[in-house]
Amino acid sequence: MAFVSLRDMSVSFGATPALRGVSLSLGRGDALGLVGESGCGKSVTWLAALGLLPGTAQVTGEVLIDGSDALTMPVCQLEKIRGGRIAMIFQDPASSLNPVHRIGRQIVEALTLHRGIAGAEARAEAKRLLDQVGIPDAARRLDGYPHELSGGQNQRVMIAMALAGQPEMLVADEPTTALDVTIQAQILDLLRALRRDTGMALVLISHDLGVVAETCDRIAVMYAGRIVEEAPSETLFRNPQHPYTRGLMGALPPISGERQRLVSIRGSVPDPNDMPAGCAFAPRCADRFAACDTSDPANTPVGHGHRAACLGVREWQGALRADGVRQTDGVRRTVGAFA
Amino acid sequence: MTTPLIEARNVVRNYYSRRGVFGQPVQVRAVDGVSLKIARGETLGLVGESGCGKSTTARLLLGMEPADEGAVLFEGQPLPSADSADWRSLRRRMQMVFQDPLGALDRRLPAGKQITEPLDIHRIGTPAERQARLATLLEAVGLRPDFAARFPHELSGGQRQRAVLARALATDPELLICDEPISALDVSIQAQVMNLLTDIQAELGLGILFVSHDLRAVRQVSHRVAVMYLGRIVEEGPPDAVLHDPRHPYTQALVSAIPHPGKTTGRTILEGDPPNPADRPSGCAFHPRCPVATSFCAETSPNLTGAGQGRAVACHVAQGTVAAGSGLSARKVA
Repeated sequence: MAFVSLRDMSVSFGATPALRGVSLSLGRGDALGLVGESGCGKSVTWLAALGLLPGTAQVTGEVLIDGSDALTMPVCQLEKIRGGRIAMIFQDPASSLNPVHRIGRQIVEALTLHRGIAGAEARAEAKRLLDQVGIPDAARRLDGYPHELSGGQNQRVMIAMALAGQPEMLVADEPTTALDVTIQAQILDLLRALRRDTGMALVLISHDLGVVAETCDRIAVMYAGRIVEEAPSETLFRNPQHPYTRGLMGALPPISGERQRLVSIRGSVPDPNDMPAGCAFAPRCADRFAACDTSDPANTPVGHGHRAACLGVREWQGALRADGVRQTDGVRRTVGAFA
Repeated sequence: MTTPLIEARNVVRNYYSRRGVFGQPVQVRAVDGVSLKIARGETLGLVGESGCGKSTTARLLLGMEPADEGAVLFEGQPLPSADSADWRSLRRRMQMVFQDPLGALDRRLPAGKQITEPLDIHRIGTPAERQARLATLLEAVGLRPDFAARFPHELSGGQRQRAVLARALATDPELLICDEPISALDVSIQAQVMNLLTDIQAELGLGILFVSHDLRAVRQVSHRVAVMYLGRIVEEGPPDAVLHDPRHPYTQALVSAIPHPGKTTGRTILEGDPPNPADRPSGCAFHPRCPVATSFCAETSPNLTGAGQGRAVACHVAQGTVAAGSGLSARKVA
């Protein structure tokens, strides 16, 4: 059974929808990448699942964590899960740490809360955690303050705090976006090593397809509050089905080969208060049909563990094709230049 | 050889920062002897991590900051000092685009008003001509005419950056300095802006300095690329040569750090953080993180010298002065 599964989860703030029916499931030890542009709901998905959104948000659907629904469970039970079984780290480590408390104290606090250890034992454990996340001179750093550390080291401290509860799953929300390229490589390497050593599941939220591709086994692409495509990483890159996924890939400048004009996606993300009647991507889509403007596509299986929400894809007939590759020729009618 | 549009000769810029209330001011060399040239119709990509001096270099080229040593030449003539009448009139020929388009726009003025403002400032054209110019500019950056009446908060991120670009192009500049112009934008919008820059350059023959930390983006738009580390250019050359066959160990690490689908092994991961410019390591500034550093590197600073095929590199090992060492504190991770 899946460790965490979201079923048709929707979130709205007042009359503004933020998530429009997200279903996802994650087994133990899985690594899932969640990709999309700003405002697509990738962070809201996990904040809502862990009950971290403000009271003004209306959340519907189900969030099953080990079979029990997190949206309806009592707060005391949810608090055992948050930080304990599922930990989360954010983009800007400096604003997630308390600037006036020593790093050691902040890690010990997490240890006391989730593992009930205190005093010298907790301090020793805090030092072990700092060592584990690769902070040099850990014993001395325990008495340091966040401002004395660089951005990359603060992110390591955040990861150490997240590990304090020995979580079964870590949700990392754009953990490397605020960091330099060489530091990003360090943190991604650390996340991979931790997964290998502890067997925890990982959800990596990012706007960067490259970052998730090399860290995660499976990728879900979000657009305007919905998952538009989900597939094993390799399949997604080899055989993307949704025009938005293809657009994201085309927009990424290649690192080798001839330099060509980038294939950019026209226009911009729709206003959540003024969603298109049909497919949310239709106004920007180069491959749309007339029907796309009126009917919202459902998730359609298109291959092994591969689903896409697009009217242009043809449903996969189970084991009919052994290679799992679908023929698109003739199915798609290209509406090239639209105004 | 023809005179480059803009040239920096060994420019140095120092800042002073005080540590604590009673601390002695510490000299920070933000830019430490940078030389570069940009010709008309050419884009130079300037790459490096935060704090390496890329933005300061951009500001020095525009004359927004005076160089403490060295000189900046525009069409072979030294840049007049900032705030002089000569400098102001020169500024219509060189414009800047910043990272955060919302911060670069006035929230209380409609976009159209801001786009024509440089024309008002430089007293170019009659009001009717300025309106005609506005229409041309909006079309050039791909904005609909009705967007002129919108306020910045009514535009999306990509549209704001287009408005900033339209404003920069208003005075028909010959040089455009873009400081991280796409970093604050979403991936699909980044592609739009990169395409736009390439198109505008092809049409108007601008010289562009494209400052970015993103090597992919730099390769996409640049004719030449310069890599900066701690205030100095450590490698320079054609983008494909630098990216596919990097000579400097820092460039090698940057290139190998580019996230790439399917690549999880064989990555050079640098240890440690970029050093503080106020606390510059001795010798080659990169030696504490360098996987091939030798004790010689810790003592002597390398110069940027030609390496053939329009390339230059500042590294003792790449220049063959010393044999590759095994690093003074870095490790190689498979």
